[in-house]
Amino acid sequence: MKLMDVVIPTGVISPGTLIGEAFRECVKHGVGGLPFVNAEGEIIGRFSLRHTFKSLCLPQDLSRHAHLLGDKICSESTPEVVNGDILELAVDPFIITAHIATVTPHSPVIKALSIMEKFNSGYIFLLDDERYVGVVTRMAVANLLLKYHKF
Amino acid sequence: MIAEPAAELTLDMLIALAVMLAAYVLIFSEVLHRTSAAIIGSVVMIGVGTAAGFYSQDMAIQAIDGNTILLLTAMMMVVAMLRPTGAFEYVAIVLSKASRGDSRLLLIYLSLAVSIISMFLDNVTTVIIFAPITVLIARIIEINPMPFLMAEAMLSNIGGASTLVGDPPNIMIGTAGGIDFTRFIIHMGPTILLVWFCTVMLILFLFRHHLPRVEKPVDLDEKRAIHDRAGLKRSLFALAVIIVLFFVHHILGIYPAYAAFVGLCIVLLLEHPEPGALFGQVNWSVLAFFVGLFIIVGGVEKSGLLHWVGLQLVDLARDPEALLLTGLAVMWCAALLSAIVDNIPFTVTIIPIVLGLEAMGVNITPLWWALAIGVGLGGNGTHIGATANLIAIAESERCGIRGAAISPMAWMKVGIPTMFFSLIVASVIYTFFFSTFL
Repeated sequence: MKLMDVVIPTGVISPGTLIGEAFRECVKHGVGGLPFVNAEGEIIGRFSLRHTFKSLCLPQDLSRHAHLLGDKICSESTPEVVNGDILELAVDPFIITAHIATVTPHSPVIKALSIMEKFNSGYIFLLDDERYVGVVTRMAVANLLLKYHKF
Repeated sequence: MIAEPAAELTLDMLIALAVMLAAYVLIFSEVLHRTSAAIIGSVVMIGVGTAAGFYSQDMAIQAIDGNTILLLTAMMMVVAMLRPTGAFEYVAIVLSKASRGDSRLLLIYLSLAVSIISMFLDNVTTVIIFAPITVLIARIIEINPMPFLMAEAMLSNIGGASTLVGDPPNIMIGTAGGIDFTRFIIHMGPTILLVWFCTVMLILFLFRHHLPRVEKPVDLDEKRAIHDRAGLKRSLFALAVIIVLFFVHHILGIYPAYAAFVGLCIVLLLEHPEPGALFGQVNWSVLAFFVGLFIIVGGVEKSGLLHWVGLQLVDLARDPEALLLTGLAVMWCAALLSAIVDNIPFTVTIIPIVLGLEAMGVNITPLWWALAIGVGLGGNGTHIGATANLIAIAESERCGIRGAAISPMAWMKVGIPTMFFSLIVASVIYTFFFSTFL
């Protein structure tokens, strides 16, 4: 099994991209995050669906006590999410710049899974000689296993 | 060779004072983490003291108050077992529903719960647990959580002042003064109860425009809060044993620390906790900080400096007519200093001075109560006066609710009047019932 067999080619996010555009790219490819690149095309951060939602509408007191929540609170306490205002915001303030873990086409699958586990992430970026190729996700690895073993 | 206490300032005293001041500057300026500063200070004190001949490694070990350190350790472990059960969240939700939309009642209920829990458990832990659930409740019923967070922090500080185990300074005072749990609560309880009541009234008045009647229901399910009902019962049983033992530890002739360890043993036997879950939750940094302070102050004491300070105060304190004034001065100085700096170093330093006065024939009993009241109430004055205040502020900033963030000025606007008001109430009680504090 090679990572190149499971990599999902995607577009990249650049400064000024709207959250709505980033969401669309994530949804189109079924990935949880995308690389954030500067004008030279160098990866300087990552856009993460989880981090964006967390920053915009999931304060710690809410997520920590999620198991206690009833069904009447969410829509009223986060109107900017419900009315779609967040889609018009630029992604820049929500970019994660720390721990941009990457793998290469020669990395074993177990390494990719290990890094995802370490950083509590469902995806990792694949770079070939510093050039962005795409995203490797757990889902894609599982899909490959099924195909490889004709299960 | 160890120096005898001298009536004049000596070079040893000045050396010890310099080391202690340097360590305290590092602690209060936060140039280094306070624990790092205390460790460095203690190592320097032993080294310098040994070289100068007034301190030694053996003396440093003897200077560590084992009862305080072990009591805190055992209680931290018991709380580590109790905390994940969800009991605190359960209580908060039940109380918020019982307030039936009256936010003033909600403030009183939550503050009362935090105060009572803080009487027996660490008040920082209590606020760490209550602050996020308080913010969530406020978020759901759409009111500003700021008054609730400030009230919880202030009243947990006040609640903790009422018992021997409610606040680390009290443990130190109790150990040094040979004061048992029951005697402590009998003397401090009524005063703190009245101070608590007056403080709640003042907070309700100061926040009268922030506490509206609310229509939204508290849409939280308290039944889902309890993760492990059987585990909760076992932990509560162990806590109940500890509290009972606290009340009778002097009759049984055991230290409060031993009482806490008996309860901890019950938890360990019944719960079989994972070592990581148990030991990982102990705040080793706080314990190391206290050990470092004990060693630093032990060096200053052995240099004879604290004895010398006692000599300067003894004439005033020995006069029975002036004892009340001395007590009030101790209370107010302790409170004002505790509002500005960490009250632990202050308490650790002042205890040997008070003990020194006893050796000079002064009745120091009223000074212990004055000190406990002062350090307990003084922390409410400023945002840095107590760790619980910082927890409340951090939660208010993190929640992102408009108008909820507590700035230092916002804290002091409420904290300073509250501190002075509570000190005035305590001073009136201390003065009128001074004979009961003797």
